[in-house]
Amino acid sequence: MDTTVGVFLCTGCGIDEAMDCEALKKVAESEYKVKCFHSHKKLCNPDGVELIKKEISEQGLNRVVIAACSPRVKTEVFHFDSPEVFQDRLGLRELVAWTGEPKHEDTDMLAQDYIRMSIVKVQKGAPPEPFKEEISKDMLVVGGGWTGMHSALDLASAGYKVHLVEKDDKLGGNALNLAKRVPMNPPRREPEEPDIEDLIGKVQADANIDVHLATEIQRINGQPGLLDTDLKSGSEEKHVRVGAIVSAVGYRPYDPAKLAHLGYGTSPDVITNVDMEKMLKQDSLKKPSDNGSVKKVVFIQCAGSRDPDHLPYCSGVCCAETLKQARMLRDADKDIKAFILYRDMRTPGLLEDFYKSAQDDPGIFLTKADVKEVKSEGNNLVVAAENTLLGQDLELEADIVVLATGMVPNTLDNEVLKLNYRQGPDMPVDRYGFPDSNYVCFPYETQRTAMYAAGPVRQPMDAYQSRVDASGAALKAIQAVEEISRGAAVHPRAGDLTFPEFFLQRCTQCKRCTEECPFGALNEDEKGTPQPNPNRCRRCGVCMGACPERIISFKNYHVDQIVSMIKAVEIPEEDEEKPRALCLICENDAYPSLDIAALNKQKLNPYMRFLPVRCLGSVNVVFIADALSAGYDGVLLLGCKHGDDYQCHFIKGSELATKRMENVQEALQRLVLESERVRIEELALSEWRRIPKIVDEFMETLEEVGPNPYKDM
Amino acid sequence: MSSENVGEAKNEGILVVGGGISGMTAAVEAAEVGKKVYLVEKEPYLGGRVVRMNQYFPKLCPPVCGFEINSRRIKQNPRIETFVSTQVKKITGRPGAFVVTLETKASMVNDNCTACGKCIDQCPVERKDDFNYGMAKTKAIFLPHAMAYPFKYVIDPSVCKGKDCAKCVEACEYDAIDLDAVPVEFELNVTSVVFATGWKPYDATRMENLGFGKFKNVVTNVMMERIAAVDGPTGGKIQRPSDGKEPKSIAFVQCAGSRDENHLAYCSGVCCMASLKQSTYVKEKLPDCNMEMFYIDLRVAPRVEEFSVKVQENEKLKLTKGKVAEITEDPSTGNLTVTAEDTLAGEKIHREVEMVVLATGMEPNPVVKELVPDLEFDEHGFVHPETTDKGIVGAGCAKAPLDVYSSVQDATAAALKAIILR
Amino acid sequence: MTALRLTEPDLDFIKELQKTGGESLKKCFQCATCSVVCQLSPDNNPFPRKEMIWAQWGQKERLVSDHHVWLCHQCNDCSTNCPRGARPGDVLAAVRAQSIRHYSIPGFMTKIVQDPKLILVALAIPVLYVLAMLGVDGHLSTLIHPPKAEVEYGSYFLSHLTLNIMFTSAFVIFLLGGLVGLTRFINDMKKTDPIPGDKDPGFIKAVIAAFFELLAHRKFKKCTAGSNRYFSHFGLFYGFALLFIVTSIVVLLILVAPDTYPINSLSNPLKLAGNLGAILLIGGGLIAIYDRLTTPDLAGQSSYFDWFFLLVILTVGITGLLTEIARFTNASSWAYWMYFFHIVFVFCLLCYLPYSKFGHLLYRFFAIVHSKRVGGYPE
Repeated sequence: MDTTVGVFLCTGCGIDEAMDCEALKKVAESEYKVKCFHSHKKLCNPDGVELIKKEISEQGLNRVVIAACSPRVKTEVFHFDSPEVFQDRLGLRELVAWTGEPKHEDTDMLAQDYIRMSIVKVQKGAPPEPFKEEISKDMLVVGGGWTGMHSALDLASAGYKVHLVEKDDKLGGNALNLAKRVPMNPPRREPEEPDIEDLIGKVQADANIDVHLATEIQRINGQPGLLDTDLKSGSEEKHVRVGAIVSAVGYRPYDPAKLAHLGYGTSPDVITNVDMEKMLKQDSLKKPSDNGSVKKVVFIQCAGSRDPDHLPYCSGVCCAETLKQARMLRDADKDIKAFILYRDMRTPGLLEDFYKSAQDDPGIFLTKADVKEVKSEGNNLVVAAENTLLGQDLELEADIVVLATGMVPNTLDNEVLKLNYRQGPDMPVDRYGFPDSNYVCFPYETQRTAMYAAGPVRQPMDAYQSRVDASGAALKAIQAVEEISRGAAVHPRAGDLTFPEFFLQRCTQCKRCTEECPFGALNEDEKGTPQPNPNRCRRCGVCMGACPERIISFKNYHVDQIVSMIKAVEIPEEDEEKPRALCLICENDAYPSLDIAALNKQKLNPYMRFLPVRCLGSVNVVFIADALSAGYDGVLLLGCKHGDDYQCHFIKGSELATKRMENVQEALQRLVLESERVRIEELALSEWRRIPKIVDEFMETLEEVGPNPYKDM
Repeated sequence: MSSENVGEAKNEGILVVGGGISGMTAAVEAAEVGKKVYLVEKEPYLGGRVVRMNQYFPKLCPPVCGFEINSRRIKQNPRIETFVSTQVKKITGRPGAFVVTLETKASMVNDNCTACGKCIDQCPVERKDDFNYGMAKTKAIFLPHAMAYPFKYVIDPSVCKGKDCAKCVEACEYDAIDLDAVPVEFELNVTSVVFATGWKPYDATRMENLGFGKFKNVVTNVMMERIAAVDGPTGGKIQRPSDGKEPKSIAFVQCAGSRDENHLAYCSGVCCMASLKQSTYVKEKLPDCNMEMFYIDLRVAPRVEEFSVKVQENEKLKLTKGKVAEITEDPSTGNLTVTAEDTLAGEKIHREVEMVVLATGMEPNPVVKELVPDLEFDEHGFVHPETTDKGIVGAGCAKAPLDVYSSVQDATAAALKAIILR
Repeated sequence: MTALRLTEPDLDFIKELQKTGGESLKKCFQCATCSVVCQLSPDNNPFPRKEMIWAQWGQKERLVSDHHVWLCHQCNDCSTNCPRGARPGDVLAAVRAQSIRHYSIPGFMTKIVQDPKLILVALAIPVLYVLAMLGVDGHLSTLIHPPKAEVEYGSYFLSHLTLNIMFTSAFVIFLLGGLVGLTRFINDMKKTDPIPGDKDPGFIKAVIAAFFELLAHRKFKKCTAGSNRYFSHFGLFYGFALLFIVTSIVVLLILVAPDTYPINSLSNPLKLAGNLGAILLIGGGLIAIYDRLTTPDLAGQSSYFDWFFLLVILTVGITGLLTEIARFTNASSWAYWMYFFHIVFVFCLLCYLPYSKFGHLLYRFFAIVHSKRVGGYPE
C-alpha cells in the first residue's frame, strides 16, 4: 500500500523539556523516510491544527501521526480520520513526558521507540471501508404483553414498521389477569384501573404494527439488518425480514407446587397472589375449599423468594401487589381483615406513598414476621410466625392464605428466538434465566447485537418500570439498525466502521473464533469454517486474537500491524543492561487508568513499552511469541477484570486472554523460557495507583530471571 | 465535542439539560440513533453525582469505567455539542419548536488549555472543593477531576483575585487564560427538551437530633463515598474527620431524613444498597472495624438481592431493625452514641461508635420548576412521568429517586421519547 | 414464648381509639423513633412503639393493662419527632381513656362521662343531685328568690351538714367503683408484665418512691416538646391538693367546731391556703388551655376526654373563687347560683374521678408503682 506519512510533534506540555525532539525527527525521517515531520510548540492551538490541515492537503498525506497528548483528550481538535486519511494519536506527553525522567537516555530511547511504533502502525493500517448492505429497518417484537405492546407502539411512533409476534391467540399477556394495577402516576395512592384493553386497541389500530397472534418463531437466520424470520401460526407459515429484535416475552409466576412448606397443596385455601388476583377480578371471594365466606386473609410475603432453596432473588413487585390486593379486599367488603406478614416492606422510592395509603385502612394489619408454618385446623388455616414486632410469636387464624410468589423469566428453560447462531438459539441468560446485562452503566447489553430484552423477562419489574424498559429497548433497537445502516458498530465501539475480514483460504477449521466470539457473530459451516456476520460484530477483535493462523484482520487493526509495531522497537544488546518489556494494554479501562497515573505524575519504569489494544481478547499469542523471539524480556497484559462481576466491556475478552496465557506457558516451556516472562494483570480504571507498582514488580521479576536468551539472535 | 461557535443560532435537535449519567446517556443514545443533540451542564465538567462515587453496587465497579466509555462515545460523535458551565435561562416556543436561551459562565480558561498544570503552582488562592463536599481544598484554578470532560482547567470566580494577581496568566504557555472573559448568552432552536437535572443530597443539618454539622464524626453517605474514593480527600483511607483516626466502629443510620414527614416524606430507594456497599469498603480497608446498620425496612432491588445477602455474611456487620433517633457526642473523644430501639428484641440500644454515616436521601433539583412552571410535578417536586404533551421529557432522578442502573434505563427511554416528539 | 393466638383483632377498639384522639395510629411504620426520643421510656421494654402496633392490631387486653401506657406524661416529644405523623402521644392518651373505660365500674357511668353525646346527662346528674340536696334543706326557692341579706351559704342555701353528708357519701360510692376498677387494673398489670422476684422493692417502698417523685414533678421536667406541661400540671396538681386539703379540714372543722365556720378573715391561714390553691389551679388550667389551643402539635391533640376534665377542673377553680368573691361582696343576686354551679362541677370533678381523665390520679400512680416493681424504670 502506498502510504504518505506525516508526523506532527507537539513540543509543549513538557515534551520538549523531557526528551530530545531532534532525535525523534531523525528517527522519523531517516529510519522511515516520512514525507514530512513538523514540530510545533502548541499543536492543539488553532495554528497548530491549521498546519496539520495544510500539510495533509498540500503534501497529499494519507497517514498521519500526531505525537502529542493522549488520544483521550483534544479528540475533536485532532480529528483527521477520513476515508482517505488514517491517523494515530501517540500520547507522548502521558506515556513519556509526564512519567519519565527528563532528558535521560532511557527516556529518549522510549520516545523514539514510540515514534517508530506509531509510524509503523499507520503504515500498516488503512482507513476503514464500511460494510454496507441494503438492510431492513423493520422491527420484530416478541411478546404481545404490556411491555411488548408499549415497545411496539414506541417503535411505530418513531416511524418503524413493527412485527409483533404473540404466541397466544390474544394480546395482553399477564396483564389481562390484573384486577387493578399498582399506581404508576402521582399521587400514587389508589390502585389504578388497568388500561390493557385501551393499549390493545391502540396496537391493533396502528398501521405500522403487524400483529401476529397465535404465532411462534420457527427460526431466525442471518444477521442484524438482515434477520430472516420464519414464523408459524398453526399450519400457516410466514416470512419476514427485520433489522432488530425486542424480546418482551415476560414472566411466569414461580411454581407454587414447590411451596409445600407453606401449606400449598395441603389445603385448597392456600393460594398464590396470582390466584387472588383472579378472584378479585372475577369478584368471587369465596373459600376454594367449601365456598365459605372470606373474612380473614393472611398474606405471606417472600413466599419462595429471597430463599436459597427456591428463588434467591427478590422479585420487587410482590410487596406493592399485596398492598394493592389487601386494599381491594377491604374495598370489596369492609368486614374482611387482611394481615400482611413481611420480611421487609419493599415499596421504595415514590411507591412509599402507596404504602402509606394502605396503612391508613384500619382493617389491614402489618408486621414483620418469620413464617414458620401454615397448618390446617379443621376448616381453618392457622399461620404460625415468629420474630414479630408485637413482641410475641403469632398464630393467625385465616380463611385464606395468600402466598406472594415471585417472577420467573420465560427464557428459563425455554427457547424463544430460535436464532441460527452457532453459539445458541437465544440471548445468553444469567443463572436465573434472565437475559440481563451485567453492566450497571449499560443495562441493555444482551451479548447479541441488535437484540434487546425488555420488561420482566429481563429482570423482575413492575408495570411502570416495564413501560420505561420497553421504550429503552425500542431506542436501542432503532439505534442498532441506524448504526448498521451506516456500516458502524454499536456500543462499546459505537461508530467503528471497521469489521473483521477473513482470509478463509488459510483457515484450518479449528473453530476457536466461532466458539470464543462473545457475541455469537460467527456461524460455522459443516466443515467448521467460520461464516462471518459483520452486522453482529462489535469489533472487539477476540476472533483475531483466537486465530492461530492469523487470518482475521481489521483494516486499521491487524496481526501484521501489531507484530510490526512490536518489532519496530529497538532492542538493546544484552550487555547494555537495558531490558525491554512490552505491555499490551486494553484501551477501555487500563489505558485511561494509565493516563490518570500519568496526570498524577507517577513515574514509570522506562523499559516498558505500552501498546494499546482494543481488548485483551484481541491479543493473539503470536504477539507474545514474536515479542519474545524479537528479544523482549517479558510481556505484560493489562486489562479489565473478569469473573462473576466482570468489567470487561466485551464480556469475556480478558477472561479469554487469561486462558490463552495459560496455554502460552506451555509454549514458553518448549522454548525453554521462564513462565514468569508473561503475565496478565487485572486493573479497574480507578486503580491507577497500582500501575507503577505492577510495572516495577514485573521488571523486578524479569531482572531475577535474567535477560531473554533470544535477545541477540 | 465541546462547542466552538457559541453564539450562532442552531437549527433542530434535542436539548438535554444536565450532564450527569442520565443526561450523558440520553444524549449519547439519541445521537447514535442519528439525532443532533445539545448537552448542557451547569458545572464545568460532565459526570454529575455519580462520578463522585467510589463504586457502584452490586459489582463494586468504579463509576469512571462506564463514564470513560460514555465520554468516548460523546467525544467521537459529531452530532453531540456539549456546553459546560452553561445554564438554561429561558424556554419559549412550543413543543416541536422551542427557543431556548442559555448562558455560559465567563470562561476564564478557554479551549487552548492543555491541562499541563503549570498554573496551579503559581495560584495563591485556595478554595473548598465542592466535588469533595467541602472536605478538601483546591486552588482557585483547578482541574475538576482526573477524568474531567472537557479536560481543561477552570477558575472559580468567587475566590479568584482576577487581574490583581494574574499569576496563572503569566505561567500559561498556551494563551488559555482570559481574566476579562464575560458570560455569553446564546439561543438554540430545538424540537424537544430532556430534563436530566438530577438531585442534590438532602441537607442533613436539618435533622437536629442527628448532630450533622455539630459533631465532626457524623458524615453523610455522599461524603463517605468521597472518603473511600482513591481520588478523594483522604486518598481512599477511611478516616474520621475530627482526628484522622481510622475508626474501629461505624454506625450506618438509614432513613436519615427520609420517609419522614418532617423532611423528605418519600423513600429514596438507593440508600440501603449504598450503605451495604459502603460496608464493603470498610471491610476491605479496615477489616477489624465493627459496623452496625440501623434500618426500618431493608430495601434492595431485585438484581441486588444476592449482593445484599453476601454482604450481610460479614460477621463484623450487624443489622438492627430500628431507626436511630438520637445521636450524642462525647467531646473528649469525638465518639458518638447512637440510640435506637431493636424492635425485634424490644430493647433500646445506646451504641458508642467512633463514626456515623447518615444515609441521607435525594432531593430533586428545583431548576425544572423554575424554567417550566406549568409543567406537572408530583407533591414531592419530581417531574410527572407523563409530560410529553408539553414536548418535555424528564429523565433519571428528575422524575424519581433512582439508582444508577434505573437512571440509565430511564434516560435511554427518555431519549426515545424525545426523538418521537417532533 | 407462648404464641399470641389471634382470632380477631378488635376492630371496634381500633375505631374507638381513632375517635378519641388516636386517629393517626395507623400511620405508624414501626421505626421506633418515638421509643428513642421518649425521655421517660425505659431501655428494657421501651414504649410507645410496641403500643402502637398493639393498637394497630386491636390488642385491647394488652393495651389496657399495660403499665407503660401510664408512664407517658404526654410531653409529645414522640409526636413531634414521629416521621409518619402517627402521633403516638395522642394514641396513648386515647388508650388511657379506653383503659379507664374498661376497668372502672359501673360501665354506664363511664359511657355517660366519656361520650360527648351524653354531656347533658353527665351534667344533669349532679344538677339533680344538688337540687335534691336543696330540697332536703327546703331551700330550693333561694335560687329563684335569693334573699337580700348578707350572703350566707349555710343558712340560706345548703346547710353544711346536708352538703357534707350527701356529697361525701356520693363521692365514696363512686370512688368504690373506681377502686374496684383500680384493683382489676393492678391485677391485670401483674398478668401482662409479671413482677420478677429479684428486683422488686416491694409495694410500700415503691409507693413511697412514686409519691416523692410526683411531688417533685421530676418526670415533667424531662420533656422538651411539651415543656409548658411542667408548669400547668404543677399548678393544677398543687392547686387541687391545697384546695382538697383545705376543704377536708373545713369539713372536719364544721363537724367539731361548727362556730368557726364560715371564716370571714382573708388572712386566716386556711383562707390563705385555699386562695393560693385557687390561684395555682386556675393558673395551671389556663396555661394548659393556652398550650392546647395555640400549639396542638407540641401539646397533643385534645379530645373530648381531655377538655371535659380540664374545663371541669378550671371551672371548679373559677366558680369557687367567684363564690368566695360573691360572699365577701354580698352579691346575693348571683352568689347562690355561682355556689350551685360550683358544687355541680365539684361533683363532676370528684364523683366522676373514676370515669374521667381525673382517674389518672389512681391509674397512673399505681402504674408507676408497678413499673418500679417490675424494674427498668428510668429514674
